[in-house]
Amino acid sequence: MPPKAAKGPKKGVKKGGKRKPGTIEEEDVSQNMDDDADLLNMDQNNQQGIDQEQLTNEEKDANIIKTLNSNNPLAPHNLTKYSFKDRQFKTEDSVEHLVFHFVFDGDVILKDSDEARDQEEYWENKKKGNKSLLDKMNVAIKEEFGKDPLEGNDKAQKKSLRNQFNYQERASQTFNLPLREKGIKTDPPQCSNFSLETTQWQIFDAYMGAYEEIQRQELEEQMKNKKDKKPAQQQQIQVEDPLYSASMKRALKIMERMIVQNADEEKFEDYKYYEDTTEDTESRNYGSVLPLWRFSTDRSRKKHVTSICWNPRYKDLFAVGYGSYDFLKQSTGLICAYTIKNPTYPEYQFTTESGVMCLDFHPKYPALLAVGCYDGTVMVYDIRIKGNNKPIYQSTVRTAKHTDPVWQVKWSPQDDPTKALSFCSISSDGRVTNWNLMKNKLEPEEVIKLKLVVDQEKELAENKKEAFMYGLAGGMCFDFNKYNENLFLVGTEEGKIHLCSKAYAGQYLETYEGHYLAVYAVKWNHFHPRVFISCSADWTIKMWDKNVARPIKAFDLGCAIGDIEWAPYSSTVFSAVTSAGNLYVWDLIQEKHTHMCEHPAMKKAKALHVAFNKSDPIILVGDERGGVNSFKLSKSLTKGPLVPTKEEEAGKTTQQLEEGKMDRFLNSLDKIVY
Amino acid sequence: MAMELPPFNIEDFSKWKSGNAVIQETDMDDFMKTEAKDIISTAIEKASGATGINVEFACKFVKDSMDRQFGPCWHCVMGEGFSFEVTRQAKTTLYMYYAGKIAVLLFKC
Repeated sequence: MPPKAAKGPKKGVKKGGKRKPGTIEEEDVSQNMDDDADLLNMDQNNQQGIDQEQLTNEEKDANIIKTLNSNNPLAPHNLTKYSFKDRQFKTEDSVEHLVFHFVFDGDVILKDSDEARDQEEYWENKKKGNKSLLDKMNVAIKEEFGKDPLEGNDKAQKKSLRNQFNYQERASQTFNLPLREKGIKTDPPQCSNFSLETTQWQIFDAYMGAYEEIQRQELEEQMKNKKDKKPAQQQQIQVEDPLYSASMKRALKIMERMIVQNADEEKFEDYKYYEDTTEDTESRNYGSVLPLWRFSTDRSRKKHVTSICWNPRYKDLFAVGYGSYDFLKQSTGLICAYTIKNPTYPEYQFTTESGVMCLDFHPKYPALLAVGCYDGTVMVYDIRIKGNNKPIYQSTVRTAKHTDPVWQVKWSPQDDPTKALSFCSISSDGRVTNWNLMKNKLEPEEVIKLKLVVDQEKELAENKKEAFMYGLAGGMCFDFNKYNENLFLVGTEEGKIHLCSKAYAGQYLETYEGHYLAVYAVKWNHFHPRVFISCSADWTIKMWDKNVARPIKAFDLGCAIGDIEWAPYSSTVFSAVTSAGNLYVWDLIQEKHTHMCEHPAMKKAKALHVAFNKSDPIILVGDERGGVNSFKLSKSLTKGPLVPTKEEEAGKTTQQLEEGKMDRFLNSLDKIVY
Repeated sequence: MAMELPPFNIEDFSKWKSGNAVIQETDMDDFMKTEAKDIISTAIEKASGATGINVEFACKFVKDSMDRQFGPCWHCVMGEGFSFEVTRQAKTTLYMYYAGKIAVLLFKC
């Protein structure tokens, strides 16, 4: 079937490569019947098939010429690329038409080629090299052994290389070194826990602290630069421990007072708010006192309270002098300044060599405290100077100090502010001395010598000059008149009271006789210029008028009276304490003949001294066991001072009203008695 | 002798505190301390922008720098308010305040 085969491709090419036998091969159909029965069937069925082009015989006979060329029909014919040279897209003319359908690299070389010749040469050279090497070896062997050991043995000579089949390898193995492991354990690094908390506040505070520190340093540097002379002093200030600073001390003091007040709340409430307002004179409560605290310290336990003095400016502060009234049992003295704000412990303490007998606060300089001692010394303390326990002034033998106990000291009224401060003292040695506070010493100035007054008749009978032979009378107490500062009263051990004047030294203006034993205290009335009272060891209190030589009134209490004092608020109220330990209060305008109040101030101890507070209804009683008891006076005892209210009283002062009150009492007395 | 400080000026104070570090607690030696302080200050300077301080960046920066310089395993915590309980190696702790409001905890473990 070659013609058909030749025909077929032609047609195939023409028809786009269709391989299916078409109607052209109809005549061969019968021959291919068995092979292509199915196809035939299909063809027969599709005789008028859709894809089958119907050709006429002329068309079938026509010759169509097709030429083959070397162009690849699949190659792109309009390849366009960007030409950087011309900066535009250009169609590429030369397209690769070569297509490899199969490639195989062969290793066969042509014998005539140069490559083959080269190879031949290489092998030849190698052979030659081996031959020459072997020859050289043989020469060396011959040199060594004289002759070739294999000479004559063609076989061996021919093959001196190792026998492939009779050959054995020998090897030996050395011991393997055993493997070892080595390790080191180190201590773990030291660790610790750390925990804190951060807030903006803390950060701010930290910055604030650092900032202040820096500023302080800057300031210090500035100061140093300014004052190079005093760097040491600055350092000293820095060294001060805040724990022992003044501010810490102050804070502790306040704290202590608060604790005491909280612990002792009831008494403080009583002190501040309790008012016994009983007006019923029949009632038992009428004229009573309410006990408050007892002021005492360990150091004062076995001493007598010899004087009590309220501070004129700080109404809660008072000083207590401790000594002994027993001639045989003298000991050291003690001065304690207590405050009501802290009843448990004294605010200031001073000790003295000899027992303290009396003390007095200066009315204008509340820190100055005049003190008289049993050995006759007078001293002045500044209570602000706590540390050294030393007085700022002290009388010595050289400055004519008293030779006997000083029984009372009192600051003199300072009429001229340019003059030095001065105080008076009285002693058993019979002298009343005025002490001037000079720059660095006490300047004594004798006020009066207490001459003994003998009976006038006796004096007349005997030689007058003999009177000077007598000793001096022992002074016990004195008091300045508030309305005539030159006048003062002196009470003596003999029981006499003398009215003296600074203006006429050495003379008694008047002598009042009435007491039979030592006069313990004599006090001018605060409001009435003429009236005074005195108390004595002879169990009596006597009331006097300056112009009358005999007492105008007497009270007998049945035991020795330690001290008396007028109330600062009324002309008719006074108080006394007795050796039985009782506290008595009188108000003469209410009760003419007897006391308003009698209160056992202490158990089984002599009450020695009494002192009214200047502004509060508080009274202090000192005893012989080193304690000071405080009492609150009831309303009925503290009537006064009178204040001018009514029209008729207009223009009168309180003093005049109080004086009038006293006068009314005096007028009511029986004049015949005195 | 009165040592009166000049009156407190809040502006001066704010100005001062924004550029200063206050070391609250540290047991580092001096060299490490100064290094750490420098690193922290540069970190916070780098991290602070218009919107405030990028604390994460600063922390990372500090940690990386310290790791590179003193060996690994440093930790750094920064913030305006936090509390912590950490286990730290001895001689490697620095706790300080910076820029007036940031607390920085730096430690190794």
